[in-house]
Amino acid sequence: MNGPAPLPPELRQLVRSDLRPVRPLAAPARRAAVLLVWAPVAVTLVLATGPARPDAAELGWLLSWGVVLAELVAGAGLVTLALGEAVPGRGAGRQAGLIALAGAATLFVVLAVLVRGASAGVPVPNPLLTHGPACLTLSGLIGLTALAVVAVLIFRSNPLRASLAGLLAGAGTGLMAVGVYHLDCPVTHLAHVLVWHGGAIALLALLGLGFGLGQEFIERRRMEARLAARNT
Amino acid sequence: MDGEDVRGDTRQALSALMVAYQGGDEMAFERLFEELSGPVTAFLRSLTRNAARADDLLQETFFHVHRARQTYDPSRSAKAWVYAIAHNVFLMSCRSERRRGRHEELADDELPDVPVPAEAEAYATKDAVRKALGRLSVDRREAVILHHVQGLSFQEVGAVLGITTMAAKLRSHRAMGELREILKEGATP
Repeated sequence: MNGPAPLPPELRQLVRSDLRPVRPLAAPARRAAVLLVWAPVAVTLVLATGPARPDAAELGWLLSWGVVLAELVAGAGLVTLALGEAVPGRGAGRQAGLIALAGAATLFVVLAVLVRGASAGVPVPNPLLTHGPACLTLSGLIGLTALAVVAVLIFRSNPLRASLAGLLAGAGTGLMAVGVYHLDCPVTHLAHVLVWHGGAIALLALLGLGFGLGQEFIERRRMEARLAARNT
Repeated sequence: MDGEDVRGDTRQALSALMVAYQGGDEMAFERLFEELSGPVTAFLRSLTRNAARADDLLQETFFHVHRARQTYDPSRSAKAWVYAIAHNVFLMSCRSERRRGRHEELADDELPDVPVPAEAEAYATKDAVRKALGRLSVDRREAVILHHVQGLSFQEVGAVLGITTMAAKLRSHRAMGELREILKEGATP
């Protein structure tokens, strides 16, 4: 085993220049609890700005509020995994992350099928096109607010696999947003829900992945610059 | 005092140093560096098989340790936390080298002095084990070094590599099996 190396002067200098006390970060699940504040605000805004879906009585509590809750909880689970990925030695890993993503996608599809089975919703002439862009934009915007909060939490830590953390955070906040938006959108046609609501989740996941990849790229470039400076 | 107790004491001591360092104690950082720079260098040398590159990555690892010190949870292993950072720094440097089309791995006879698992030394000389280690994939090499050389538990190995405890156990077991096979092949005249 190698003996201890002498502390490099530049490292000592760096530590000395920024030695303010820091408080250990709370556990990922506790940090994800920030979204407990976000969720009721988002639900209130959605209910206040648009009419509630007309088939709420037909769906019953379980397929209206139950779906909202299930998607919020599953989304928060993905966000918790993302925040875990942002702490060294705490991440569940790529395989667990991908399994969780697959689980969330399955839940989204199953819930869409159950809702469709219980209610024909508001009939629209072309379910694949009518209302679609509006749903994508609104649920995307709702999710973006949550993603912004989670992104701050992630990048305040030290994500080792920022791309995975970003992907999980994007998908998680997307699922939460779609859950909240379920209170508003009266179209239950599967093509509409899977393409436009699912599209909002996919878009936010891609956005999170993009942020993560960008962060990894910047970190790598900074490291290259430091190594080059040390070796010249 | 048996090995388990010593390991437990070391863990507690490292954790106490990390907590003091989080509180702004410069001496604690220096002690932490003193305690961990040797084993982390050995770990990085086993991965990079290049002493100069490993020394660079050691500095980089502690640079990240400093920047991410708030992410250390005092109820967890400080060693696993630092190794997780070192592991990531190594992966980042690999990506960076791939991008630039540069990869320097030394020839077997120029290898730096890297530690080898004591169990494997029963089959061959230290030098032969060192060369055989180089023939393992990086994933497997890491698992062997972390568990059999650095003394991390499988749970800690899993945390460092971002895999489950069971996967860490399996990877390490398979790596030791492969290492034994390579050594047997080498010993066959």
